Amino acid sequence: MSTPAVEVGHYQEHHQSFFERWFMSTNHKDIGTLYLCFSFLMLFVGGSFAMLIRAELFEPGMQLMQPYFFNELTAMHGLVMIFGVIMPAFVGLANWMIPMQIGAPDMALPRLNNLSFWLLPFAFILLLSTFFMPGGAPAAGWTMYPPLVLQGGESIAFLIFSIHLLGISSVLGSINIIATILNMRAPGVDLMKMSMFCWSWLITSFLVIAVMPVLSGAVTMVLFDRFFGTNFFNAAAGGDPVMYQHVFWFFGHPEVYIMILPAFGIISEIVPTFARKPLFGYRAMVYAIACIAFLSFLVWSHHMFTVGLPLGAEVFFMYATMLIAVPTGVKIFNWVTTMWKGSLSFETPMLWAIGFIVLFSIGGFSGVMMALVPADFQYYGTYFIVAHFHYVLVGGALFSIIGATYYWLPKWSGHMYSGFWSKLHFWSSVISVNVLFFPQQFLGFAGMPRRIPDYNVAFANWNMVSSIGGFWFGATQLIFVGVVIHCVFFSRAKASSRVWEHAYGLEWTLPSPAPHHSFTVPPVVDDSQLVQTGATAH
Amino acid sequence: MSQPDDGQPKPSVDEALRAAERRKASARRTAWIIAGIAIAFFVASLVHGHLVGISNWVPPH
Repeated sequence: MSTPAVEVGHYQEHHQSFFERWFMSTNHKDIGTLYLCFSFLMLFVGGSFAMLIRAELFEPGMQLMQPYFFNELTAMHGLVMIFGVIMPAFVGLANWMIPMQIGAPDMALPRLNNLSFWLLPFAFILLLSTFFMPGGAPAAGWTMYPPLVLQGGESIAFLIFSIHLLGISSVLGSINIIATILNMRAPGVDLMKMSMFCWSWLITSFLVIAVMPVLSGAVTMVLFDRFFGTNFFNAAAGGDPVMYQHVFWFFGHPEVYIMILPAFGIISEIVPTFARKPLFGYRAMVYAIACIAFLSFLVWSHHMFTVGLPLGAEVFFMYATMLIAVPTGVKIFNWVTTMWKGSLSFETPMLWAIGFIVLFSIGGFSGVMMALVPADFQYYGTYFIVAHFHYVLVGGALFSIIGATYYWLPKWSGHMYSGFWSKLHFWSSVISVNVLFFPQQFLGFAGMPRRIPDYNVAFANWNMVSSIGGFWFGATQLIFVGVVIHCVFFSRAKASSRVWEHAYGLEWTLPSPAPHHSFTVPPVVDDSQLVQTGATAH
Repeated sequence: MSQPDDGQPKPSVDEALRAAERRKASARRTAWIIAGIAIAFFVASLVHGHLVGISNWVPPH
């Protein structure tokens, strides 16, 4: 840690009451912690829905619930996991790490940051309260397709208002991240010397800015169709239900990359540290993320191949989708090449990063299979799709979030966690997640449709295996709770400032735990501090 | 990070504060521009739905 070039006193810490600190905070670390705790809580809410779904599907026949409640669970599981777990967790990590990695004292707009977070709990109170309303929770899937969504109860208004709040929260958060990265970097932290995590979030933020308002527009039209007599999506009155799918997936596909690009940034931080080499092809990695983000706007109709598109459109969207495999392949290649001939060690974050690379590749390959129009007619609406996006979002996004937590937790808390329990968490997770989702690919190939509470006895065996994997994976996450709580509150093993031997980046120049305000004055940076990005290696 | 006693002139407190204020003002400008883009996308999605709806609209009887 260097001596600051000049002392400026207006960022001094001051004593705060519990209420002031956690409810009125404008500090990026406190808000980051709130985001992470919130997404941790929602992981168990959404996970409990998944446990109920897998319990019902444990064997053929109706076991535990009515079919409509099953549909409510599948819809709410998707909404909670996407908007309540993956996105807030990445925003939490961004809040914690971006100011520390660019040498800023805080986010550029701290009060906006507070507002961004506090919209979330209210949005989810609204959303989850729909379970207790007459007519039940929305049950038309997380995609909320009309006309099905219009046939639900009054709770659709609460669903749409909560989507609006979540959209505002995400957009405000992204505005803050863009403003921070473009304006608050310390002298010497040029854009092309910035950490990959910051780069991934800068590009992701532009995706959020472009597509979350489009989702808001789509659900606003649904709201007007349901309550104010318009007919945007009512075919009987000249509306077009397929238009909803176009508008929704113009949001929905970039949303997939909103949930995976920050993961790419995290993996690009972890792998070089434990391979003890600079990241291979830093510039190529930056351009690959930008290329993926650009292409993500051109592929939305691959979610709609079976809806009856013109052949030319299907061919265009097929090739555009397959094109995304190129920059994604660049990233996988560069991570593997970073590890190649490196002095590898397998601390817990590295295990999660390698798990990410393998599982995300499985999910990515099945994605390329579905890009093929003729093949997609077989896969569409089956459990093959369910297996695909769970490999990407659990094996990909969630694994990267857990890996990031194990990577930066000592920096946040000032303590080391248990190596044994954290590695047990990994091995149990990586085995159980495959027991859970790999059989779903077989079920999909065999033709088992998604979103059904009962199924043909021909699908019984693999469903039972999948459910066992689900319960196993769910129970395993309790180890994560134990490791984090023990590390934060009970661990006596102090963490050094540079927690990992070969970790480079400005965050590791701060003491552990990091001080309340990261850099009260801009640090004087030289390139050797940023070698982790490979910025000095080309 | 290099140490400060590298022969470079150190900025004064006033200069550092002014630089921080400039960054803040620049961040606010960036925020408003990005917010404008977000609002434009929202309006564009509604206009798209409106125009598609108009071309097919059947008055209710």
